[in-house]
Amino acid sequence: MRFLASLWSKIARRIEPDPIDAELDEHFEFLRRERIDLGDSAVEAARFARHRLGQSPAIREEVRALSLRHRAEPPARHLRFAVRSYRGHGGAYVLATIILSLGIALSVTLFSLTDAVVFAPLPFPEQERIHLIWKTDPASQPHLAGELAYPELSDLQSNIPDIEYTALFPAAPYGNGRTLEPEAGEPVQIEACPASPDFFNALGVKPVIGRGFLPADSVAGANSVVVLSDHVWRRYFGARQDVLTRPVRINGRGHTVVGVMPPELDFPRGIGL
Amino acid sequence: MLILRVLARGKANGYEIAKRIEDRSEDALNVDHGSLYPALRRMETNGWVVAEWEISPTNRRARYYSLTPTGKKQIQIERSRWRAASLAIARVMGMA
Repeated sequence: MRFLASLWSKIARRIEPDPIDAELDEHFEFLRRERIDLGDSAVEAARFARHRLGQSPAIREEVRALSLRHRAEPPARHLRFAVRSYRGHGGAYVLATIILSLGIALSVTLFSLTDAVVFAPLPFPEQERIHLIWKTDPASQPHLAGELAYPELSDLQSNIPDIEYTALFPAAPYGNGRTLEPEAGEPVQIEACPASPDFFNALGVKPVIGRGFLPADSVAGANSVVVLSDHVWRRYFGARQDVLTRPVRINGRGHTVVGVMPPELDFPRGIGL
Repeated sequence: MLILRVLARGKANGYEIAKRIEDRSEDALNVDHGSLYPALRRMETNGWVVAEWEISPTNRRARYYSLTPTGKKQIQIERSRWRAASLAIARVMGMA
């Protein structure tokens, strides 16, 4: 409050008219009286005082030039000029602004795209070796792309030696939410993505705790297993190191947590299980 | 610097400042009293002095100037600056 008060008094002093006139009048009066006390006549005393004080209009002018009001004048003049010339040819100004903003928007878009694609690649160590395979039917017009069935994928793998791993995940990876029942608190809906055993191998990523999926997990009748994202592990399992030994219920069925993925792996984006 | 020295002895109005400078210099520095005011305004802006309306001993309203702590420090700065400058001039003139 004291700071505000002192600030205000400073501003007020700057804004209110400078007391130079009253001060000079006072000074004049002091000088005049001094002479009268020494025995001068009123006229002589006044003449002496005026002379002693100097060029009072020039002094007033100089003092005013130092005040804030005067200093605020040039910016105000620029502003007035801007408004006037805008009225004169505002159209040209608006056009220039539009062109400028379009140009800026274009470069920003381009640079953010370049940044996302070139400089911030996907969180896989060997991105260039990962391929997303679709199938198309040459007979159909236009060529429709479709998902491969799992047996087709394993056929590809066994026929083409260059393919190290094949894995499957839904072309629409979202909408497979599962209800997770944490040990404490209300059940939560978490976005999940079903995947075939070699999913993490194909991506070239390793879990930080436990293991990824094994072929044995996909055999009919095997225990249901789940790999957690780092986010889910921290949020609902308290980042416990012994998460692998804890029972977990998902969609009302008992599951086994087999692994936890590193925080940088967020693929498909937002998937938790 | 002269104004700061005068105010170091206590607050004063414009007339008193002018008189004291004249007295101390024994009228050698005979300046227009009015030229004090632009200097005082600059010092106010720098925060070296503050001014307030008060009643003078002769029962008239007058604006009294007094030193701020910053102004007191400024005296030291001005003094050493003046000493350096006057010494330099004295050397050039072959007086030191």
